[in-house]
Amino acid sequence: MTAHQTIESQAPAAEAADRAMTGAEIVVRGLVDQGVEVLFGYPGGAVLPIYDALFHEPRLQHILVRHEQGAAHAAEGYARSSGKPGVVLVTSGPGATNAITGIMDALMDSIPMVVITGQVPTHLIGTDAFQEADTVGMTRSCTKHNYLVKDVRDLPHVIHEAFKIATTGRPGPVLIDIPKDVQFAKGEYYGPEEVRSTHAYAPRTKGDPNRIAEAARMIANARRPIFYTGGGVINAGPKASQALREFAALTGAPVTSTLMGLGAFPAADPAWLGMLGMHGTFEANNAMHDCDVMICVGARFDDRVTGRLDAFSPGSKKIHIDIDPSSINKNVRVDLPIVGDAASVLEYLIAAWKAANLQPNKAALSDWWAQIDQWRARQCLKYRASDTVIKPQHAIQRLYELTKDKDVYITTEVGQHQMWAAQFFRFEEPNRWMTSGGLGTMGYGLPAALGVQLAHPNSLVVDIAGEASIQMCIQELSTAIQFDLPVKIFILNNEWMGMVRQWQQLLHGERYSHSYSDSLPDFVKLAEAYGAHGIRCDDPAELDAKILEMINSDKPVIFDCRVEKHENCLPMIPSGKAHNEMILPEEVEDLGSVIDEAGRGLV
Amino acid sequence: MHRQGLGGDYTAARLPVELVWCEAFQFITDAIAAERRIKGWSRAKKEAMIRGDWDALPALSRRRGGKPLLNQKTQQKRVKMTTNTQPAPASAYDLSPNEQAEQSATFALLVDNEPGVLHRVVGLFAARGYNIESLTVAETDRKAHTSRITVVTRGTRQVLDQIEAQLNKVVNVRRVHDVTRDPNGVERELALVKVRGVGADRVEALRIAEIFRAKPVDTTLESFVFEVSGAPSKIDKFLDLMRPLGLVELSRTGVLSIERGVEGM
Repeated sequence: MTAHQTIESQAPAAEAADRAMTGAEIVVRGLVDQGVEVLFGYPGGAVLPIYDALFHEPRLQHILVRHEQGAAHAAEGYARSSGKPGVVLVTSGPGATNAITGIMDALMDSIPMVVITGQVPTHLIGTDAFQEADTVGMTRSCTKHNYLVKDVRDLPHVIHEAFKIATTGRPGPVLIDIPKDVQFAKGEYYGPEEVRSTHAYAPRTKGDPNRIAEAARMIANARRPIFYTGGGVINAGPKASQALREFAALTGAPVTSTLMGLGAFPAADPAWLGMLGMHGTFEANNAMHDCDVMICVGARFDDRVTGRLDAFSPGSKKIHIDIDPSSINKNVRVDLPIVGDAASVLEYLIAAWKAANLQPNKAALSDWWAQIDQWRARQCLKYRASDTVIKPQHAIQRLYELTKDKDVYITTEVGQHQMWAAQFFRFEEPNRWMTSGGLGTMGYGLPAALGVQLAHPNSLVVDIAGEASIQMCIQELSTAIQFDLPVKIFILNNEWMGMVRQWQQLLHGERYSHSYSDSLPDFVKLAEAYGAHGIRCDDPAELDAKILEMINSDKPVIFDCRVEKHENCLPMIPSGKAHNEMILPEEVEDLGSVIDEAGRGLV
Repeated sequence: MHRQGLGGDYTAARLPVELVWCEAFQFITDAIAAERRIKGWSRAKKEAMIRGDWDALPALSRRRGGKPLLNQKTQQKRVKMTTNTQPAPASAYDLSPNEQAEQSATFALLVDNEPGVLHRVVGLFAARGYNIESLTVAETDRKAHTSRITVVTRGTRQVLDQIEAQLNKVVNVRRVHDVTRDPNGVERELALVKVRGVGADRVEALRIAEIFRAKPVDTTLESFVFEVSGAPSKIDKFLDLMRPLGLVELSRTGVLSIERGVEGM
């Protein structure tokens, strides 16, 4: 890399002494200047110089994780709940490879993250040295951008540019691989304002005004409009959520959201239809199928959302607002693409709507809402209650009811519990819901909860987990104890990898191949072994009291909630089916009646 | 069961009924899904199924709102295309036969001259399942640290648009230019062609080389090496003619491109 040539070295001689420092010190100083307060990491041979520089830096809090995957997920949780980039510091070789799952997760869910990895000294690169791995080669396809810094003179601008790339445009992870000799080498430090970017990186954030005006007209003329919002609204900051609420109110249109977008629109609002997609609500999916104008904001027509593509919302005109031009027309052909930041475009839409003095079609909207109310009347999330066994849906509902007045943040692992949490926990504000959507990483929830707790030390942070997922990163409980992070792990324990079991039941002839977890640990004793508090509950009558015990504990808690073992997560669009071909709970529990009254739920 | 009036009231009230169609499914959920699908069909389509007239089914498919999905002609075209080893269209409603046809496209990329930049571009093609037909890369401006990559690929219009958008997203890529769609785009390629032959074939090879303005850069008593440059189609044509005359080896540069006119990229 020859980019150091572009750095202006016009500093006066007296200042030069201040600027002189080692590569490791440049890294630490760069992080401080970028406003970093917390970083998640694990030391090792190739990053020791940076750890040495950290030793003298009180402004940076280093959280020592127990596994590098945990560091990456914790950084994600920190970033998603605070809006600031997450920072990870790990060593070469296994340190970097362990972090890759979390890096890919951040790429899929557009989480701003800067990962610093140590590398073997420059002269050993390519010799199969101890703990050497081709980190930039391996992470090229799972980062937004990455660097191998071979010259200490490149280091200041690379660090600042990495933060810029990670946090602007469509956010994502950026990795900086720094060989150990570069960390030791003496160089000069330049601040964020003093370096010049060497790339032509300039994402577009302002939408085209003509298209925005046209979009406003289309929405005003719509008879059956719907907002389909996604994680982009969360990423665009609280302003975007505010603008979405305001614009949705102006248009009178219903709002649904992807898994990643929950919280951007308040669940208490009457216009909220619930989540859409494979395990979304009946009303949201049917409204998507039958709408005539779809306003997609910061979502990407993922296959879990669209179902069968050729039957996806066949009669609608689609407006797609996205900051990433490659998301447009990728899976679904849209009629009016607007490239730009969700907050900015929504604000301009509101302005355009008001400037043109547009009014929604009230008569058509009231018919549309009447239709939606019919779908809502199906009560697609209904489940059979029980006095003897805890229903997982009931457990989430009770958790929600008992925490809703608190300042609560929810993370999840991946599986049935994640979908139940998305269906039954209701979010009123953005940044309160952290889940692994795109990559679907089991083991995400606990480390992410640690990151959230660090960003919000006085808030209640609950990881809704499954007994299988939680064991993927259970070691981070030790981190929680060390740094006094009182996260609550609420395990819906059904002894099965529930989503796998459900698919095997519905799609693989009830052949339950390797989806039962035999020899589960005693989670209460496990909690105690780590120094946390353990609670077990298998009686619906005791559930509330024990949830309160969990909330009121000032220690990390593992709550082993023994739930109904064979509950299925419904409603469900079977893969390869259209939005209006959902399976509803009563149809599965009582198949015979479906055969006789088949199609009764179809629009 | 229905005939005896057992089961649902709906059917019991509409007797007699006759079994005209049945199909076995492994799972009840599949059977329910199939029943729902069939119930959504028009009467004409159901009757066609009962007759076993499978060919008539696509034509009888109607969209919600009663508008035919596609007219008869495009339906037939689509059937033809699918038998023509074309992949089935991912989505029927955005289907237009022209857009579904694969076409070749040449992209010129101006990229930062940094280690790994070629890997980024090639990796993007590999990871997303796009095909590279030819690729050329060289540094073009040492002072500005830029290289130029010219890549020829194939795909439907939608895929090509997606490739362009994905390339634009790479931080190291400064500009992407679709040369094929630009009326001012010029594409050229150079090939070195070894032809072995004696007698009349040898004379004929030399004569054709003259027509194509190919330059012999090496000759032995029984072979020539020709240097030929031009549009890729011209080189293909030249090779077609050389093949029966004793083509033994071939080396092509891949496509280079530039825009006509005064403006630089």
